[in-house]
Amino acid sequence: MRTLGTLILCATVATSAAAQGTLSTQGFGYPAGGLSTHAEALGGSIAENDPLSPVNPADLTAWGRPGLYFQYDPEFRSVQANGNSDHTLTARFPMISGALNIGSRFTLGLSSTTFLDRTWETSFTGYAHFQGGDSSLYNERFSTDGAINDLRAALSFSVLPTLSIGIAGHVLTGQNRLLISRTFSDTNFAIFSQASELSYTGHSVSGGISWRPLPVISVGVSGDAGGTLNSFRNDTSLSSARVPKRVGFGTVFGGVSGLLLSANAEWNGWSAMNGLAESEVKAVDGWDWGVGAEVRAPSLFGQEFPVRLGYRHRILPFEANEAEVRETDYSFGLGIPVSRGRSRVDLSFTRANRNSALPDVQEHAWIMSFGFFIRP
Amino acid sequence: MIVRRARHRLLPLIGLAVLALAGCEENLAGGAACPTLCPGQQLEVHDTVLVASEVFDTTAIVNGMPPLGTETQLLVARYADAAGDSVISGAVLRYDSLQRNFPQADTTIPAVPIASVSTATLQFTATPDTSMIRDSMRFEVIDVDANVPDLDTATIHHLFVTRPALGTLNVNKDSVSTLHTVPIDTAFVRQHVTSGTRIRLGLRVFSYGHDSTSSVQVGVIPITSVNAAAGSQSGSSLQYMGHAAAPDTTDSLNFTNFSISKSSGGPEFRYLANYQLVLKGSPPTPSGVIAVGGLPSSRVYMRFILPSALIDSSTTIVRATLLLHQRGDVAFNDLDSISLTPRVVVASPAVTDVSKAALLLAEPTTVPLLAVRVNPNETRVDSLVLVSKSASIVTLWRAEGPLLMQRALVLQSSGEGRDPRRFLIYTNTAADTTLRPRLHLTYIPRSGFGLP
Repeated sequence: MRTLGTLILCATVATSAAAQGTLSTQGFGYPAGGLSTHAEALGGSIAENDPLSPVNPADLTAWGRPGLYFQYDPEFRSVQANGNSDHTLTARFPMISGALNIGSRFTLGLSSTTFLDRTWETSFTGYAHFQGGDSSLYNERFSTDGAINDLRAALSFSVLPTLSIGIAGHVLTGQNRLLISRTFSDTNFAIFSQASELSYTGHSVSGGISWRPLPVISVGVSGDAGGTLNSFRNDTSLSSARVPKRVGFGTVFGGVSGLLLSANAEWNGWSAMNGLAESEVKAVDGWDWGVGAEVRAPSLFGQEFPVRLGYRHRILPFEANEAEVRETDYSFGLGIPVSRGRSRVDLSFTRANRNSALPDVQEHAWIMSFGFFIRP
Repeated sequence: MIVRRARHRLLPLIGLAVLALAGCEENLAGGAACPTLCPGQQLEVHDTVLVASEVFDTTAIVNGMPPLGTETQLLVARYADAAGDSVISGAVLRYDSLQRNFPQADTTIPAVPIASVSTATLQFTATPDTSMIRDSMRFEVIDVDANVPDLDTATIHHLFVTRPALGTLNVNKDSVSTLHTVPIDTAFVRQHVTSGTRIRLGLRVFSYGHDSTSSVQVGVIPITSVNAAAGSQSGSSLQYMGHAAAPDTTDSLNFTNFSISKSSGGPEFRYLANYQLVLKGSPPTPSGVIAVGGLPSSRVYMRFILPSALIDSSTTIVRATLLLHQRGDVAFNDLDSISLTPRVVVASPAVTDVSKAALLLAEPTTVPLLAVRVNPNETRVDSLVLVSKSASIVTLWRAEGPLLMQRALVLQSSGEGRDPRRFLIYTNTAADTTLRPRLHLTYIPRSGFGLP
């Protein structure tokens, strides 16, 4: 008598899905947030000195007046592999933040940024062959939607007119909504569909210093000390790891009239997240550095439009098929003053080239960024 | 000029709005880099065939379908089979309440009883299948009343074939109509009307032709329907011309009696009134096969014992096809096909009587399992799809759980009760093991897709 076990024909060994068809969204996702549109246009080179980028809490002092900021970053991505190509569009809202002055020396800031965006979908079409010689065309989709977000509450203190310090508490939280489906063209097959949701919680603290030793030079230094990061499915705890540590420093030089030069570098200890994954997906530590220049363009319509250029290079957190993934960005941007300079609309266009040691896999993206800074 | 400058100012904003809108509609579908960058995105698909002993713990034939008194039409038929024998079905029409008095407008006046009957007929409406009739047919009406319980059909059967006819009606093929009026013995009717006893009539049919393949079948509507608006009734009726004894009253009237008799049996037979009686049934089935359909009709009850790991787990069965080998039954040749229909049993496990469980079925629209439409004459493999894109019996079983619903199917013929043909299905006792039923399953266990 034949038994069930001996008749398994088409079994394939399943492993948990660790990858998703792109270089950038491996593992827990792409680190999309943390930089304002202004900073993105400058290759992230003013991250340590930018009050709108929730990197260095000491920079909150530079908000000046209470305000709100939000940002929209659609990414047009193309992936070439094995002679095929994909063209996708991912809409991201990576940041919303606000700040409030408390007295003359304290500033309180709240922000929500995308820490790791795990939004992607793969679609595959093939033939399944069964006993008796029949076969059916099928389409299989794996998709995930959602992100781990960084909610930050920060406080800065202006020690001196040229020196401020800040501290912040971070809560990492978010969900990944996962869906698998397989549909067969043969109506004698039911649709396979599996939906699940992962959630994450974690915390960390950060602190920083912003110092202007000379009127034309600003220096910023900050760091994050990681707490615990946990993953859950419903009420069941799945895994636990540490929030990655980070340390960064940057400077802005304004010694040339009409020109601002900036540089920034930070180290991210992404490998602290390795315990969070179930598979052998590997997070790697890496440097993220950038340089940029902002030029005061000729006045138009009575307003000055700063023109920004930037270059950035970084190691993305998660390896792709055991190969380190690097991203190189070339960016261009504008700042459009609104309401006589009280508010501002920032624009940036970034060409991101991502590569690894994997042969025949290349990824490019155009990332547009729209930042809206509103101060009454 | 001022206006033109304002327009120029708007251009960058319009351009920005267009760019922003272009990025609003997400398009995430990719996969070109798979499997290089997607090594884990592969579902585990299992495909297996289970033999009947691994699939069913009970396979039973339930005969006598539909149950007495629940027929939608009463088959009065005689089918000549290829062997020169025949299958015969008749109808029992029950007139337990007869009109015995002349109606009086003034209810204070004593009723005037019927004293004599001059003519009596049995009328019914049915459209014979003239393609079967060779030359002519003859209806016969027989007295089948007996003082026996309702379900003692053996006695009724005996009376049907031994008592002489009370009346006959010969109809030529070229003069077939839908209304049939069979004159019956007036003395018989008078005796029952005047004595206050009931009348129960049997109706059977004969077919005459120039060869032995002549058959005939008619379907008699079993129930009396009432048109509330018109106040009229329709259905088979017993009519007679009654006369009163006293000359000073309305001394003649045509009385029409519709069947309104009720069962005197238990609650499960409360609807039993007129019913169909198979006088000579289908021949026995060969060994190793079971019959679905035929006369009297049978259903096949199949209870599944699929592993709980498949039914009650998070595994998804994407295809389940029951493969049944059909042995051609050449007893009745007909070019038309009939349907072999799988029906879902909704009886709870507390219903241990298979014959009752085979009656507790879900409506076909609840779980629309597809029927197989074939000719029972053919020898072939029938594939009954139990899980498909449009219906899944497993989803229902999983939702209801094993304590609320039996995990069983009933196979039913679309010709149940009105077609002598039957599907002969090989069972698990078939000598040739390759002919035994099989269940072809394709299933996908829950994927580990989640954390990277």
